Amino acid sequence: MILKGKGYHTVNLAAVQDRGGITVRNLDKSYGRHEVLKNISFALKAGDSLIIKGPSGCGKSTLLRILAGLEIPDAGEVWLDSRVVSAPGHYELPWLRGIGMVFQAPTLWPHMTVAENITYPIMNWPRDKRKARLAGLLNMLEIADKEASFPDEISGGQARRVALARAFAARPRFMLLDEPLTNLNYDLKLHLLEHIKMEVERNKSTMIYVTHDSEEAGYISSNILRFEEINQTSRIED
Amino acid sequence: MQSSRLGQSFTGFAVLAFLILCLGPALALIQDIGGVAGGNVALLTSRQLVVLANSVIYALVSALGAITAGWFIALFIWNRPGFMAQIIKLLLIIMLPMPAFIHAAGWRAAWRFINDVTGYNFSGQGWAAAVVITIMAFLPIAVGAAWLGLQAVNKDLIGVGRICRSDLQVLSEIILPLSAPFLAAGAAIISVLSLLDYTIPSLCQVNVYALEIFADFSAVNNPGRSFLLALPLIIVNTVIAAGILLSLRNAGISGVKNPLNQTRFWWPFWFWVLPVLGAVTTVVQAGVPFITLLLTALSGETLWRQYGFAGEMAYSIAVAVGVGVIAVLLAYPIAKALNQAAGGLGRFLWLLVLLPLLMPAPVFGIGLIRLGMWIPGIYGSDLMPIMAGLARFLPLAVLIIWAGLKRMDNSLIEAGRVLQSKPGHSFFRVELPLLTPVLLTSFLLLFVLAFGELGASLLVMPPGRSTLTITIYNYLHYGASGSVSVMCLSIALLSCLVWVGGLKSLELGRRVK
Repeated sequence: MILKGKGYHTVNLAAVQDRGGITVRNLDKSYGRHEVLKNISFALKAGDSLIIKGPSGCGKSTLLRILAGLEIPDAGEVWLDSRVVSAPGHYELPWLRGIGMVFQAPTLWPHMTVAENITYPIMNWPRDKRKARLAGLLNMLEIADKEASFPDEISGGQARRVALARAFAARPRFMLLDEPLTNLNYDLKLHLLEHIKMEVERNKSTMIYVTHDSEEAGYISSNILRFEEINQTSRIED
Repeated sequence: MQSSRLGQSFTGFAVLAFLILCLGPALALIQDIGGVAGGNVALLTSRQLVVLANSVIYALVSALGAITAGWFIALFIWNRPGFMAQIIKLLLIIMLPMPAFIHAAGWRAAWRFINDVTGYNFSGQGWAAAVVITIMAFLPIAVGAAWLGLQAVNKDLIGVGRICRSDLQVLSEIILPLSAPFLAAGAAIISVLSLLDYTIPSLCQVNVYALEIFADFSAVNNPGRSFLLALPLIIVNTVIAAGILLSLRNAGISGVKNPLNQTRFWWPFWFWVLPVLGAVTTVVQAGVPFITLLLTALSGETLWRQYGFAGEMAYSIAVAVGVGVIAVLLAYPIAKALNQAAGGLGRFLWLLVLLPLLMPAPVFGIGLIRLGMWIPGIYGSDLMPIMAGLARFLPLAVLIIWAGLKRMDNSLIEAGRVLQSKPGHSFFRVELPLLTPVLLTSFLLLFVLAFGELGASLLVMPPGRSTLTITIYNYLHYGASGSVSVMCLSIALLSCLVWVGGLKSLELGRRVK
């Protein structure tokens, strides 16, 4: 894990981006006059995991949305696996980036069943492969009996599992998790953390995980990026 | 305590006035049903059935066309927030309160102009013309409904879809189904409005059921019979309204205000053509009435020489101001009661408020004549057109103010009540200033609607008086194009000035605060 921010020495980001993974260079993002991200740079090797911590409103979610292609930075570049996906005058569409993402809320589509939600990213797979993947995920996350239920018919904890299953479904190269286990009880959190770690390792995904919870963070990775006010004093903890 | 008692008395008075004005006309007609000779309209004649069926088909086709066009226009604004989107939005806001017959007059002038230029003899009459003009007239409502639908979809639900599938798939598989209740509600509202309006069809020489009621009363002068004739239309409208309420009850409104705080959608070129065409339609929709009316007005005598309608103009403004002021005063306590009522009482109040919106305009006109005969000093007075405007549009004022109350943070009002130094202080220093924008919006909308009202006031106008709208409608049938154009332009410009000017000053006022 390599970080460049204000007050940090410059590192050879090119060397990292050649090996794949996620590279972010001099990223700026403002909403009107409010600066959210300022001069953010870091590189994460393929298959590595990174925890992002920081107070509310410091730009953690915005960073993930930029990586996913849901927002365009004002300046800077984003590289995924040796290809630039966002740079001045260049932008790759979100669905072409090979990303799985879990938002702070489960964000399940209310007009689709649990099964339809999970298989949405893999609708272009052959039917039998798709069914097998669905069954595997439902069993792994212990929600097989909810396959035909709609989101308003399942509990909050089950909704979180469905959101995780949907993000994992296509075995994405990159996983972006934005406080995916907030408000869950300790046992369930631990249980799901195990599955997240297992699935990420199995798929060899590169993962960025945003959380406030130190225990959760410690369980996932020792690479921790601490976001502070307007990122100028970002520091790394490993 | 004193102010509370005063408030309760005023609410009681307002509800009573609402019942007399908005439901009284229909009740007066029900009382007359007994006098219908032989009950020969209890069952519709086959001709009337055909007219009713034609009207329903015409309304549904118009609504479908308007909501489809509206959806693409809303997509254009939603996905391309920039200068063009701002222009489109402004045009739609300007055109929102424009009376339907002004569109009809504008399009008739356009067809004449095209015929003159091309030598082609396009009549501009018939069902197709009526549908096109109706779509244009109700386009702002359609865009509004589609826009609300798009706004209501949670941005993260869209975002997570965009990570998985192409933007076009996300649009059809996620955004469209989630915003469908709003589209359905918008289409239903336009259906009801199309069923109630007879100005466009009558100017396009097609017969619709709303006109049938008016024509029957003019021919037979039997109020009870008119009400019986109106009943099928009220029933059809009630069914559609129930559909609206059901649609909106099932709508998953997330309350996310700006879903497009994200990258623009990428759609293939063939698809992009549709929103762009929608945007062009908006420009045509607003441009045709203004440009063609202006051209027609200028083609004859000069504007000021043609303009001999100052009396009608002054009378129309006086009626519209009267309707606007009285409506706001009455609607506020009713909206408050509606906001507080729950359970069975709440549902009953909602029914009372919505019912008048489903009745055709001639029912109000005919019913008010009946009421006017019972109450001394009313019939033939200048109160009649004001009552007609109130009867038709007071429920709208109630709904606007209710929406304002619903959005307001109730704790601000409660804090004002707890901390007030004297009775009524909280009302004037907290409640009223917070509600000023919504009260003013309500006044502005009612002013422009009453200014263009035709269906009910046509029947209740005192002798020797006429509003600009009635004069235009009469002239339109005689084909006096130059004069009509001047009068239509006057209405259009005044409506724009009052509506947009008022909304703009509200915006400035909010900024100053």
